[in-house]
Amino acid sequence: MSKNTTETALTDAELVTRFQNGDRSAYEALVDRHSEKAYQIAYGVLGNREDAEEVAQDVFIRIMRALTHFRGDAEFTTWMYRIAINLARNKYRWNKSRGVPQSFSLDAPIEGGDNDSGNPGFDVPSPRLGPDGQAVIGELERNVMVELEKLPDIYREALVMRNMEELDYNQIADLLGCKLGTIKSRIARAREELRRRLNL
Amino acid sequence: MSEKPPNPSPCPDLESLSAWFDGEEEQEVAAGHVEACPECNRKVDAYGVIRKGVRQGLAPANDLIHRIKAACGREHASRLSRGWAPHPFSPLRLAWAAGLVLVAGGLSLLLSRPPRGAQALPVAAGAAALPSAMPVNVVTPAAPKPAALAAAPAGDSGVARPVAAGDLRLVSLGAPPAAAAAVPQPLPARIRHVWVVGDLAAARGIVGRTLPGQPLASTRNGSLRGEVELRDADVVRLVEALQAAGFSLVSPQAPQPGAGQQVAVQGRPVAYAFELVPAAGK
Repeated sequence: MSKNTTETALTDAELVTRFQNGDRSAYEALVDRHSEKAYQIAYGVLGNREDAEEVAQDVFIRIMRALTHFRGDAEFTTWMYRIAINLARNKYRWNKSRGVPQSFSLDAPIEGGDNDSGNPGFDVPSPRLGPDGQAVIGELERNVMVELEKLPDIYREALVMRNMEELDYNQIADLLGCKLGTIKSRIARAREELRRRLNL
Repeated sequence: MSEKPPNPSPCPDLESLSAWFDGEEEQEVAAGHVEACPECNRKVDAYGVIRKGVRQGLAPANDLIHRIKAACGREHASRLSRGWAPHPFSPLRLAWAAGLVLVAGGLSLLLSRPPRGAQALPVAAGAAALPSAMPVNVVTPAAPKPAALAAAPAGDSGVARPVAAGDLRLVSLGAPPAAAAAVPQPLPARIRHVWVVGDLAAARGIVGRTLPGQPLASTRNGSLRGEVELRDADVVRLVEALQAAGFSLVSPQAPQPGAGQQVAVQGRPVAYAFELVPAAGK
């Protein structure tokens, strides 16, 4: 059995122990396993791909520094999620303090061509969700991300965390420090706002 | 007797419908209602499109994992070069543990022997097991008066007397932490600094003069970004120059203005990414 195969079969706790014993490849296995989640959490808070990637990178550097002291009192993922949220929120506050708009698309042209008119900037396809063809659905899904970035931050972060599948409402409430009802409300409002903006 | 409506149950509120969609409220919202209610059906379909769009859109760039691994690799190498090792029984930790044991042993010995003046404690055997770079230095109480020394027969264990704090001057293992912290550190292979500038146009000009030919990209959030590869010493000089030009560095990463002596210049290339952010209100 190859080393990589072995590592994919190991639990997070086992990988952590291996890293603590000097096996650096175990840490790379943790990065393989969880970097996407760290990115998604950061994106949920920041609504900005480049900042989210930067935060995801910082998350794993911070974890590497602290992992020797990690005793496994909490799940590795829970710990990682908290670090990701804290770093993303720090980044968010920093952006806010310098007056950077919190939600904008980095896919937009760097200079000129500002399309931030408040309108979606695309032709919303038919609101009918019947079998209108994959092209329409595909376009809708792309538009979802455009509008997601414009959502109020508290709605976006809750909806993004929910759509990571593994996180249920209780976990999201715990990570964000909110009540369960608040999370339920934010996710519903996020969906409704997106539905309204996309004319679905 | 009134006619039975097609779907007698009322539409759930949006929160309940959304939670039902997520499988969080299976009991509170009847699936049958959603099946039969065109409006709720349409909303749930829309939730599905939104979920799919979010999931697809949340996929990070293909190379993100590689970038994270590379950054972690640099961090790992940097920490190893500073004497850090992740293993809980690494030589460094073992040396510290051995030092503590020796200190405890020394204290115990002192408590069990009368003061016999400054002398080396029997730590040679333990010290031999330690890395040669980690000398153990145990300094015992100052020499007593000659008369007391003469009165104490050789090998006499005597009666222990309490050891006051002033009896022990210093026990050290290798370099003290404060000194270690002051050791200059090499710069990482990549640095990202955010600078706040008063006038972005003027800042562009300053950068143009400091780094001739350096392209700067305007971002949509109103800042300027650039990246340049320099020798580590030049990065230190650049940071000082930007500070002197009135830029304000907000990133904590080294090198910091006025702290160039904390950088171990090795002549290595460093990718220096910088962002010039206009001060609020500018």
